[in-house]
Amino acid sequence: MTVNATTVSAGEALRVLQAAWDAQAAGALTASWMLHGRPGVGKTEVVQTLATRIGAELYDLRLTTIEPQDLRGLPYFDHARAKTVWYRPEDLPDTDAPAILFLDELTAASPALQPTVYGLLQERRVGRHVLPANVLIVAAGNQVEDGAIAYDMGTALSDRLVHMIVQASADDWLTQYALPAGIHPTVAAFIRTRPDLLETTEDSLRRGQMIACTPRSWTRVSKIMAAVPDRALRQVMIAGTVGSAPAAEFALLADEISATVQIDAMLATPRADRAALYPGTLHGLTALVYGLVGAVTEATLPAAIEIIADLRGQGAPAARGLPVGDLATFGFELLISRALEKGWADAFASSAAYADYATARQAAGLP
Amino acid sequence: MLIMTESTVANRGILQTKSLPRKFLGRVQIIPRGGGLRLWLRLLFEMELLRFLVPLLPFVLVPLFSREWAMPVMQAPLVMVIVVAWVELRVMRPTKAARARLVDGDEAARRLDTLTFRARACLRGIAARHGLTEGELQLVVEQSELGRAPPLTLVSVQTDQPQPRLLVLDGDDRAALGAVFDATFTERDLLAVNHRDTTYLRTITQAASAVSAHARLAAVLEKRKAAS
Repeated sequence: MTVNATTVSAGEALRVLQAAWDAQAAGALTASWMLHGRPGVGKTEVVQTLATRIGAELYDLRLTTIEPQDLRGLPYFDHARAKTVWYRPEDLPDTDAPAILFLDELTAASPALQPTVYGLLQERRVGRHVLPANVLIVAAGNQVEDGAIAYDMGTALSDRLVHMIVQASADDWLTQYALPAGIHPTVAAFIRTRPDLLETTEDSLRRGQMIACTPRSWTRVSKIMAAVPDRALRQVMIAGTVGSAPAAEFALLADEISATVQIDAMLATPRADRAALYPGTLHGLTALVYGLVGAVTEATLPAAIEIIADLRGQGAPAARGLPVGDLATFGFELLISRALEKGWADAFASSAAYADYATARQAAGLP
Repeated sequence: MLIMTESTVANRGILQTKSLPRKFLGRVQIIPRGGGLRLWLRLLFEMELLRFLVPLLPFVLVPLFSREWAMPVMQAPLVMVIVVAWVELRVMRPTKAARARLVDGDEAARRLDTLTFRARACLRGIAARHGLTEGELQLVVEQSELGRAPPLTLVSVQTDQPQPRLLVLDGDDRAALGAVFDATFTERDLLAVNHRDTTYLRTITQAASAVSAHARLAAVLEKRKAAS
């Protein structure tokens, strides 16, 4: 059965869920939300990010690992009243604090669990355990055609949810997720140059390959890059995470970047002496931009502004005919967004390098 | 051009809306705050009732001067309707052939591109100054259909977030909107295109999320400069 809902990026899904939370908090709309998508596209991260953003406690229920009684709780005999009473399970929110009840792997849940889930989704209760009003219910799951364990969703369950299909988008992943999540600059630079390798589940299924690239697997590669200094060991791990072909391609880029990108040294070097420190390839420069934006602090922001502004000419790259103008614009977009978020805009006002860049940009008629 | 916002309109109630784009001409009576005699006269001319009185004036005056014509004139409502219709449809509005002669297709497309280009630049600046990151901004340019009068152009900025509304525009916003028309692209130029297409309401949209960080930074720095 096809899910005939709108396909959105992870960033857009987050905005929809934020609006859903706002509407529920205002008492205007209480509904349950369903994120469909291939494994690893970032459904769980969306819900985790929303919980952090709204200050809610996240109750993450993996429905493939629980039984109906895990949600219903345990009964005990109340002798005084001659009745059976159910203890509330700790997996269900029971306070007035904001909370998100995340029903992960809903489509892979055992059919025996579905009646219990229906109650949660429609009546916001299991037996006598009622969810407080400040609990947002979000479910997620894969589809049958994604190659994951999944059952077709029946109309009774489907009708109780507002559906979205989450799809990986390289641009969205790089701008909305990679920087705040501290993704390693090499991974960010690689995805910027090979956005088609962000998500390859369909291709891998077609080829009969078990391992595919997904946003989640690239996040793991980022952690491997940060945690394992030995190149050979790292390569085995990365190949086991994203597959051998993308890993080989990634290794070439990683070697080049590790040899040429020196972010700390560039930030510490005076402007006049920095030209020789610029990487000589577009991959290296892209990694430099991501690394700078990720590493920048309020104290190093003036130097970071100079480094990105000087991409256009002072360093050797422009002389080598690389399209650095676009990269400078992109780098400033990232750097300015971060500075505005942190309240560091004054550094741009007092930067001569940015003033020169802004003048050139205005002369070119760019918005 | 009249920019429709709280500081330029005396009857602010007409700025309320439940759907976009908000249309004004023919639906509400606009009372501008200030605006000059020329604008007031043009708005009065836009009032159908007052405009109908002009062609009907001879039917009032003739009986005063000629007893012989008094009865036939006063008993000729059909003629009055025909005269009013003729003035409204043939005198005040250009004919189909005249509309087609006003501007050719290529020039019309060029003028609409100019409008879109300038409008989007304004909307980006306004979105950045107002800190808008969600929804869609619309620059709505509405013109009167009357052809033999000076153009009457209403410009407003409307958004669908958090609900359909007109933006409250400050002096900087109004100054930016003032640059939509200039000597190279006048209100009359747009009216010629509108006559050609018989479309008198143009809506140019800009997604607030697509406004660059550069534009947002520029707005922040401008504000700080103005405040210091």
